[in-house]
Amino acid sequence: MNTLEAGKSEILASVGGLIEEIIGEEWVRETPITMETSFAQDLELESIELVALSEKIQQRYGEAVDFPAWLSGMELEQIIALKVGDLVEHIASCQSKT
Amino acid sequence: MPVEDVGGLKTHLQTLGASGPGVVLVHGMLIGSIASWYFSIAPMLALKRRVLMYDLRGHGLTERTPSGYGLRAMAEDLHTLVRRHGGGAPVALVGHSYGAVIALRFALDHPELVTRLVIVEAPLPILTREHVDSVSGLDGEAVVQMMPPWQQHAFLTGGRRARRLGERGIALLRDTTLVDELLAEADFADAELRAFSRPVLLCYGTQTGERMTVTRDRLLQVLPDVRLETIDASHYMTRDAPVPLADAIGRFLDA
Repeated sequence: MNTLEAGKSEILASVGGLIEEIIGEEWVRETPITMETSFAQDLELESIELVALSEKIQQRYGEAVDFPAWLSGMELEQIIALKVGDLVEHIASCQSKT
Repeated sequence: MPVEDVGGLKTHLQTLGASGPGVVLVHGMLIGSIASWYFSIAPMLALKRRVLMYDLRGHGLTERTPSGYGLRAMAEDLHTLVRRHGGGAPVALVGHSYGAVIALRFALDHPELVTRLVIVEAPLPILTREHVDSVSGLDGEAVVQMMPPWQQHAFLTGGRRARRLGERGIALLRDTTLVDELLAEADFADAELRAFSRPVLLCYGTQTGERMTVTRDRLLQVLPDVRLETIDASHYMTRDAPVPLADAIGRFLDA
């Protein structure tokens, strides 16, 4: 595993933890969080829970990652299809810029 | 999650944007929440402004009380938030649908606390018996019918968690006095609207309902300082056309 991939698996673990804080440990046990897990179909995250996730990401990663701006630039179909991996990639790319 | 006590009500609120003039966003009924703004126009408005959003009583993550859904009570919740977060300075208000009517009620009662008002797709009067009857039954099916298409999609294809959204809407209809309180609201008097001197922007969609277009035409006629933006969208404009809507609001707030 190269440094970039190691960085992403660390972000995945971290983001997975944040999602678990929002939707509960029980649910995550049923649906393990991977890069392929979709927010809408697999986690059935409600939009108000995405707000909570955004707030937690801001606390964890600071100003470098602007989650609401990233999401607001997407079409509806993209948001419905959004995977945890997309968010991990986005955070990794924001971090590589700083 | 920031939750504040607003006149005894546990209220969920969120802010975006670090500096600039204050803007408060007020979402619509039943299926609206902070999320209606947060992933649509709020990030664009927040580039130059401090944006405050909150979940209305009984909506999103704010406490659901048995009553207190009339316009005066809802406007009073908004008043408390504006005083607390505006630091005594007036703010700009943007409301969608029911939220726009709440914002209008507040603006008429406290013009000194309002710089500019944006009304997105407000219906007047706020609720009619005909409208309630058109979605009668107060069951899951009725609430799904009231949802915008993308939420119907999520609801119908989703499982346990997606159903909660519909259940919350049903609970608001079934377990609170929301409908009765809104049916009992008197319509705004034209004289009251004529006396409001602050600049108002109306945003109405090309594919909206008749209740909205009638209200649009009336407000255009009676408000003294008013302009209209017609946007290619349905009633759910924040979802359909966030960029044109944010542009129109931004231009108006900067003018």
